[in-house]
Amino acid sequence: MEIFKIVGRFLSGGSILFYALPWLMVLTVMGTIIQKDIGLYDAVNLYFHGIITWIGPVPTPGGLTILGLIFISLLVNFLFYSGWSWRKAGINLSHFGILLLLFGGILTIITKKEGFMIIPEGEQKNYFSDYHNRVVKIGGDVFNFSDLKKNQVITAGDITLNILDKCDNCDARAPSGRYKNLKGLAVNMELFSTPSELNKEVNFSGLMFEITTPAAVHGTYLIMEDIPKNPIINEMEIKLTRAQTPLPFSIMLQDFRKIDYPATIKAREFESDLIINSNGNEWPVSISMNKPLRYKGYSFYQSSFDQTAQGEVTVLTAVKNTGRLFPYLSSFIVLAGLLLHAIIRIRKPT
Amino acid sequence: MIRALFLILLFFPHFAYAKDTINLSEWKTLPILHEGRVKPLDSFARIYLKTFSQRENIDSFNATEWLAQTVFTPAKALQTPLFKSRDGAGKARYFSYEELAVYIQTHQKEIENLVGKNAEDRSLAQTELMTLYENFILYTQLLRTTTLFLTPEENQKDLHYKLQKIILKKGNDFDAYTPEEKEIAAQAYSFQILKDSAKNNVLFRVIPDENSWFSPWAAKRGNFNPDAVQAWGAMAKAYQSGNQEEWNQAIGGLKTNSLKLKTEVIFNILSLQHIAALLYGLAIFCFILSHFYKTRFFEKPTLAVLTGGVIANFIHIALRVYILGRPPIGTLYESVLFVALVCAAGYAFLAWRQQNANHILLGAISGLLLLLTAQAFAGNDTMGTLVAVLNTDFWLMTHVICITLGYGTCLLASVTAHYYLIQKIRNKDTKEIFTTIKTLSIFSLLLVTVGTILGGLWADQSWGRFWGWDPKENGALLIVLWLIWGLHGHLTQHLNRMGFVIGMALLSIIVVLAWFGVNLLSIGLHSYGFISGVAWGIALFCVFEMALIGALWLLPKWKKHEN
Repeated sequence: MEIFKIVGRFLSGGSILFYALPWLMVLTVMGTIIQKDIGLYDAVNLYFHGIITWIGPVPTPGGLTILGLIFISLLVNFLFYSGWSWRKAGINLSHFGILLLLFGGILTIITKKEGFMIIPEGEQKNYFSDYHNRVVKIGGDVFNFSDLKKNQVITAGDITLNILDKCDNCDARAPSGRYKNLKGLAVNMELFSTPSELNKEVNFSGLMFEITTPAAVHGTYLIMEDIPKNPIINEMEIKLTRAQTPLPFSIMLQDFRKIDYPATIKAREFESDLIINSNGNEWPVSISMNKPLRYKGYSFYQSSFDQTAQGEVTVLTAVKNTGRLFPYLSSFIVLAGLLLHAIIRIRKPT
Repeated sequence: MIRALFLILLFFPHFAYAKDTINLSEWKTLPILHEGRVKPLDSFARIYLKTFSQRENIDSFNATEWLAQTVFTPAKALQTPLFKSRDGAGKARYFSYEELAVYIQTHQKEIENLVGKNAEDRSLAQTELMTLYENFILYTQLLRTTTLFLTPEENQKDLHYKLQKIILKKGNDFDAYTPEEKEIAAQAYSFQILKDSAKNNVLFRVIPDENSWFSPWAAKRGNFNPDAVQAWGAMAKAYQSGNQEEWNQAIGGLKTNSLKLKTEVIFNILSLQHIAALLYGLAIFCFILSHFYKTRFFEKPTLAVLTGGVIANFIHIALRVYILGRPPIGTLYESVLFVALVCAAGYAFLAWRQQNANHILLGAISGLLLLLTAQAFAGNDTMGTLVAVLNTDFWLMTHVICITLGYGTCLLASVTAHYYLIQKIRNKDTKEIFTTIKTLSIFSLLLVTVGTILGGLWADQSWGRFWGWDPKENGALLIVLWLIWGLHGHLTQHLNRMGFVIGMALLSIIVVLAWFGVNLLSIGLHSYGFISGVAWGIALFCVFEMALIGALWLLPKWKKHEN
């Protein structure tokens, strides 16, 4: 029992927080500055959501480890060493709020699904696409693009793909002559890897592979993200696309409006008039900046737009987040706690 | 370009400048739609005079007089030294439109090449050249504003009829024309060019028609609000002839009853941010005076002067809120104005509450320095429109005010910590100062935490995530973490009193980095706050603060060691 007390005291004493916070600040500063060079996605994974952060050859605790440590320290302190008195009510309440906030944050990291929907006027969609994850689809079989490696062999039905090259961000150039028996798009171009964009969402992925079936060697093909001219072998289309999350309803874009400040081209408001179709029922909804749509656990935000030859296109951010309400609840509790502490302190200064 | 210059010179007689004869007090309140907002001509004139010459007055003319001269007597305006740039020897001086036109003409090829080049890839000299070129285009638009009133309608028709007759008689062979016919042809041709070049003249939108606003040229072409077009024509004529009576008659129908526009003109004239800065400066002077004469006689008047500065600062912000019809903070400039008010008002309150005159000095210095900093972010127009995501009064009223108040109280805590260190060197009692620092840091933690959380909720409403590790969010988090670290460290006795005070003194660096520094990265979703060119200023501030705090901390130790 003594050992538990010693560990408990160590965890709840201020030392963990006192030494963890400066490191968290260092990680925050480094993770912020480096965004300029490696982009937000990598910076977040390296510095904030990482268990270990490598600084050169030295492994150091990552953001998730530090936040986890602070969470445990705070939890032990809150449960066993809080000192439940009126004088400490505000502080305890704030600590509880921060615990909830951290718990909600971890839940969000684990469960959140986020993507985008590009809907042209008059069209409807019932899925959203992932910002980062791509998949290779062979007929009904789906393979995660990030799991695929050069020289790997994958099989779907009686089709076998031998992956010759893979690039997360591709540049297409004239064939170099490295590959033989070129078919489809590969006749005219070959994929070359280029450095990833800072904003990884705009990377243009591609794959070169050789297709064989029990009947024949079909040749060398290439596929690129969202390029419609894909190889079809034995009536199975092979394509590379963003990972998609199906929605239990569909959304149609009726009208998109960009409202400018008078006599300028500076946008004052973006608005999308949508029709929701769920289980055969239809109803109109409008969303705009700061006014999202929430339905069946999904939230949709007006994030961008495009003007094409066919007409206007709205771009919505779609999010499903189980931990969404935690920040609201915990913020209220933290605020109440801090206010209570301030009032107690003003009335009875220590 | 040279042709444009020539045409204006050709058509406009060199009227005597009418500054002394025409009263422009009504004219400057007339409305104009500019950059998405209806504002008085006075504001428009100030913005463009600053854009071209980086000044608020030009020789003896104020901005409105300069604009009137530009619009109504452009031939005269051509020779006015207006555009600030460097001459061949690299010395800054003012160039006239005439001089600039020649300069632009000789650099035409270079400009054409630069048009397609990204702004960030241009050298300093190239950026300067492009700025001059853009200003030249803008000013050309202003010069052409009333060119439609140059020749009466019937004369234009007559000119056109005469030219047609000549062409019917002699064809298109210009050499076959008599000198008189050549003159008619040249005039008709020139007028046509002028008319065509004014097609895109949309800068000076002073003619209202239902829900739209038009420049005189556009209104004339589309036949919008002919009465107003006619009134502007009459004004041009009256101005050129210096006839006040005709001027009054012409402006009569255009006069506005808008209280907002009139308030904005008064706001421009009062320039309350300068008055506030002046009063803060005066408070410093009075404090020094009272210190010099070792008397407490000046204390109350000094506090009154500081309070006067606070009131001017407050009214300045309040008038902006009324004029713009939105909460007080939407831009970096406005946030600095607000923090100046928080710091000065906070110290005025502390000076009164604790009967400590030193707080007056701290408040005056903070207020003055922050108002001077605000000027660095002011730009030519401090009352621009906001980007779409900021168009929400609720979040501007809650998150933005809360976090900016937090910046203010953080700076109060930091400056007070500096004061603590100074008093420590002077062996003065620091108990009360320490309590003040602690209370301020708790309030700062409350405000910054609540502000950051509210920002997260806003991000959840706008972008679909509570927290995205965006630089601006990380900046706010850094302040929260620093304050928690300091307060917890002191509470758990990891930091002694001096350690806590030094931590709070260094808070100014954290605040400056979070407030301005992250905007230098120009990345993330808070793109509306991006700035450039202040990196050295921020770096210097950080180094200076660290050196100052280090010196204030080490000096007593060194003195003790000496003894």
